[in-house]
Amino acid sequence: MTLTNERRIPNKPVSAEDHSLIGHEAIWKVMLRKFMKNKLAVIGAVLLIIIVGAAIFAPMLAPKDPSQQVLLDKLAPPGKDYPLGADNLGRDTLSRLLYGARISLLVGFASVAGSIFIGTVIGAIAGYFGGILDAVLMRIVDAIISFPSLFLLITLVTIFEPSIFTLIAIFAVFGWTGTARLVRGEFLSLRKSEFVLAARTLGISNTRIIFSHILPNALGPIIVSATLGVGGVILAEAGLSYLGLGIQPPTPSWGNMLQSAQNPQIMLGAWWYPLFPGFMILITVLAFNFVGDGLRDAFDPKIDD
Amino acid sequence: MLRKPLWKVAALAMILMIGACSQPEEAQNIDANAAVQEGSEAEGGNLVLATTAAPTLFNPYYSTDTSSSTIEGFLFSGLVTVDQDFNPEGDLAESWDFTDDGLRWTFHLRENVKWHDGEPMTADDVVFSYTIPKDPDYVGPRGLPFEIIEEVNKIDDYTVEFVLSEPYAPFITITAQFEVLPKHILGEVPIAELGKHPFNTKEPIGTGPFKFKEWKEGEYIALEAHEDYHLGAPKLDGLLYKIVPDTNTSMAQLQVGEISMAGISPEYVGMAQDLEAKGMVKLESGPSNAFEYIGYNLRNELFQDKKVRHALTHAIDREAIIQAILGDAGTVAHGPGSPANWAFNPDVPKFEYDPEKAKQLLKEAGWEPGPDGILEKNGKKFEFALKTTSANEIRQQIAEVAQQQWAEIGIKTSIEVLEWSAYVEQTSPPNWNFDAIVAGWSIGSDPDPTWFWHTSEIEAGLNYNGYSNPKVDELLSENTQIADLEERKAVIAEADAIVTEDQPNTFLYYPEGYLAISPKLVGPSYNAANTYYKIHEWYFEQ
Amino acid sequence: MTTYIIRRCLMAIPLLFLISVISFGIMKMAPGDPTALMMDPMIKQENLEAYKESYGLNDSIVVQYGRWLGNMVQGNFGESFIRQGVPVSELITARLPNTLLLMLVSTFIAFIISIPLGVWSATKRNSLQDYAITVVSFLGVATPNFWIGLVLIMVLSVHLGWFPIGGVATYGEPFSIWDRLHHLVLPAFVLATADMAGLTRYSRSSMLDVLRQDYIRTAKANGFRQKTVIFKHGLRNALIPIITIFGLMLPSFIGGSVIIESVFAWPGIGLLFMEAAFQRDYPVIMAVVVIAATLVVIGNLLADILYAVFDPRIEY
Repeated sequence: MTLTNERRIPNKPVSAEDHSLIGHEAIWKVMLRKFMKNKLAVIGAVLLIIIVGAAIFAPMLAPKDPSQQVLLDKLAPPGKDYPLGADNLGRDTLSRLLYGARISLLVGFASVAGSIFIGTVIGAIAGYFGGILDAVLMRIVDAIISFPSLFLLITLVTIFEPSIFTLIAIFAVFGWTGTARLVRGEFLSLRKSEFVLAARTLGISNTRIIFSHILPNALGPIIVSATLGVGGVILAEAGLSYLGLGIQPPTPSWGNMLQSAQNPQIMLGAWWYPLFPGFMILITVLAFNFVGDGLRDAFDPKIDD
Repeated sequence: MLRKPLWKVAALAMILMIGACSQPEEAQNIDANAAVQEGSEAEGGNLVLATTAAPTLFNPYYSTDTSSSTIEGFLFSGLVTVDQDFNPEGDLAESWDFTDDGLRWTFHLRENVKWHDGEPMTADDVVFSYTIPKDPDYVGPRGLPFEIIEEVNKIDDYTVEFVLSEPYAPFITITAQFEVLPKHILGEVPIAELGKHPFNTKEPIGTGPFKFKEWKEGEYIALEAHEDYHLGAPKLDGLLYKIVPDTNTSMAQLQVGEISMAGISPEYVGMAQDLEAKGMVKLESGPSNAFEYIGYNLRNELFQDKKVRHALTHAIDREAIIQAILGDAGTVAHGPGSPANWAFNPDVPKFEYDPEKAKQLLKEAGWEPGPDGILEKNGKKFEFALKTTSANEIRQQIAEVAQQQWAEIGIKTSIEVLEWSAYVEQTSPPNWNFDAIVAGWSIGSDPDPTWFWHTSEIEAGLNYNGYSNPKVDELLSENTQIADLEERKAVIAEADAIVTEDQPNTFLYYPEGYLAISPKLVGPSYNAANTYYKIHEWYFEQ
Repeated sequence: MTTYIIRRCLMAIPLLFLISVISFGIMKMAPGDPTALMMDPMIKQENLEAYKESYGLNDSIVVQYGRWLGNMVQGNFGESFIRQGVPVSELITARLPNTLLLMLVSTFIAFIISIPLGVWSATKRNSLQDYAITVVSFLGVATPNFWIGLVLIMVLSVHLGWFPIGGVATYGEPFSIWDRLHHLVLPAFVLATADMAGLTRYSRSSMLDVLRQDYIRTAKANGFRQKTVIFKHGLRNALIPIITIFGLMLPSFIGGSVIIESVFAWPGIGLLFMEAAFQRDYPVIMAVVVIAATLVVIGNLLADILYAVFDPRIEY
């Protein structure tokens, strides 16, 4: 363990600041080494790479045109013609899953990245500085949670053409409030910690303290929130299509594939149709979760490598 | 799908399904269901109906939704009703006659009719009711059917005379079916306030087979038998109208016998057939009084050429749509109307599925494939948006199929699925903001097609297409003036044939209606005209 | 602390005002109005106009808002536009108890199951049990709630007959707690599953954070029993994210339970709002918005108070 100065500031997490002697490269190396030692995290990362790769190369991998309907093959079970079966309009589920991954992953990851970023920054500022700033920011959070977003969404349909970027923006703009409250809670609790007080007396800038000293300690809830967010957004995307704002047919997404199977006749009679998109969402979220956990540990100096 | 008897009110109502919740499959509502309370006597028991959408208020002059009008049908009676084949039949009126010019109608009322509070029903109540929508202070949705009424006169306590401004064939099956309200209760209420009067939601008093007992918000409406009902005391003890917002849930209730009579929408026909095979329900079916179509906005240059519209229709494989999406719960439509209706004309021009012919017609119309395979004419591509509502899953799927089938002949479409209210706002007057829509109409107890095709209906009416043909206008204006059924049928048939030839819509299919009935329930049978015909005679077998 | 609470309560007034202004604006901006539902071939244009006039729909938005606010400050939510003449307060009072009941019970279930699971998962980190709990909770994330509800109805209610299919009580039977509970179990459980995945993950993650703290390590090194360490020292500090989630859960019941209310025919506020939203029944929508906003304010205030109670380092 190279973190020699851990004793000096008790209870203090790792930060680039403290390792100036070692240099940034070394820290990243340490972290990478720790990450690579975590088997689950590595498996998760590999899975994510495979899924993203499959999405990128969907046109080459997909056996069929994802919009090509063969009405007579409606709800065909998995078999020779349709490796994962066919949907309610006789479209190849495998091809739709591959193409659907593009939409679902892009919307899922991009909007969660956006909302986590906004939420973390606002939550950190509010929690760290407290007082009026905290009050104002948190009342904005209250207000955003309270708005009947349903109407905003219905209105947006008339203003914007439905597009994937509108979708991402909507999720990012409405999705950050929970993260902000979580991060703020952590900051409220940590800002009076000994290590923060110590950092202050050492004259370290607020920005540094926030991002290098406290934030790594608040990573746990942020990662959970991001993981749940990815799953939530992938499912919620289908709900927005209902309002005319999401992905419009015939473009597939995991969310809308799952949604169009929400019918007991399909659930009981053609279980393979909802099973595969549901399974893909599960795998993606699980993989993302393990990677997140791995990152969390890699950032934590108290975990031995 | 099954609508409740449009026996009185709607001449035609857009098959409007309010997606009450976030689930698109709510689209096709179960509108009328019923069930047994276990352990019921041979005579007696509660008939349990279920609905996906809660009713609004129980006053036929103010409500427009299906749930409300179903319940109004139990609570109130009109001068006449229709039987299971749309033939008018006396209800409050024992008989009626009219003068040769069709302008003077005299109704002879039954003398044994009692309001639920015991008061006798008389001509005064009829006169009172029919003046409500004529009143200048009236704020409600039912004005039109009363426009042709010049005078309503009480001849004596049990005789009422109507004087019309012009002969109007739908008078008997639409206007005369409106339920009569009690003057002794509402007579003093200012007409402007009648819509908000507590009578409508708290204590409706009618002359129907069931009387109001309780409305438990969000849960159910309970009715009980009106022992003094003028056609005979109901054999059932009462009626429970449950609000079950999710069709999957009501199907589950049907399965265990909590609901034993339900209209089944196409998505659930397979399930209902399973239940029938297990002996849990009786399943009956027949054509429902409606048609589904893809409507074109004729204000748009793209659709102004009749050849193009023919081509669009030839490109759609309606057989396949019916088979794959509806599970065969429908028949191919070539023209407007419905086989459930006496005025239906099956001999209209046919447009078979023939993509080659479609291409040929488009070529004749000047559309040639461009470099990307999409048809072009004068540098303009053949592309348009197809709108429909998320409240109806079947229509969404049809849009997707149409999109692909048109793509095969070089036409590019984008699909826009809209939430119901936004959809209505965009497609209806005065916005008509659409190129093409996937939609449907449900026809009322009178087949008058004026509403859809007459030029006068463009500005504010249901003629969303903006369709106008002088010959059709002439025939339609004539149709409502003819009292003789056969003669009128011929005129409507001619108009329907011309409309079909013009194809302002691609007519898709006539939906088949299904009714699942508890094996113990005796009385109901599937029909498009009046689902609850003679409900006072229904009973449960032990 | 008391001054803090009073200050927050005072701040809630302008906040609620602001929320109502913006919500009213957004609501009015959305296409469609209550007359879309009355779309009927038999309507006369002038009658339609009269309807709009009588509900003040033709007035400017400022006038309409002013009228609503005027009634509101007198505690009057107005009358429904669709259910003509019915006071909105009547609809709310009929449904709010159902929602609150469902919400309390499901929150209870969610917490009672998730927190121990999360803690256990954390203490047994990287064990088979931990993985199993992880997979199951993410299975919960990837499975739409609607499904869980429907599958449970199909299996437990239809096939096994253990539970009634939807509704709050058996019709025609006198009130009984047992009957109520019987109807409540399934929807409350399914609603709880919606939050269980998240709660388990959050409690696992915070528990892990706590277990890594030096003082816990010290305590363990000094020979305290593991259970004592975890529950006496650890859990208290792991509560911050849990409290945050609790505060956020409170208002989410209005919107978040719509699907459950629909599947289980449970007449709550969520369904009322959804119905009103699609019918553009403005007074009902605004009433629910105000209630939801109040719950948001209360939920987050409660969370802030609880922070200070459980974590002495937090002060305002």
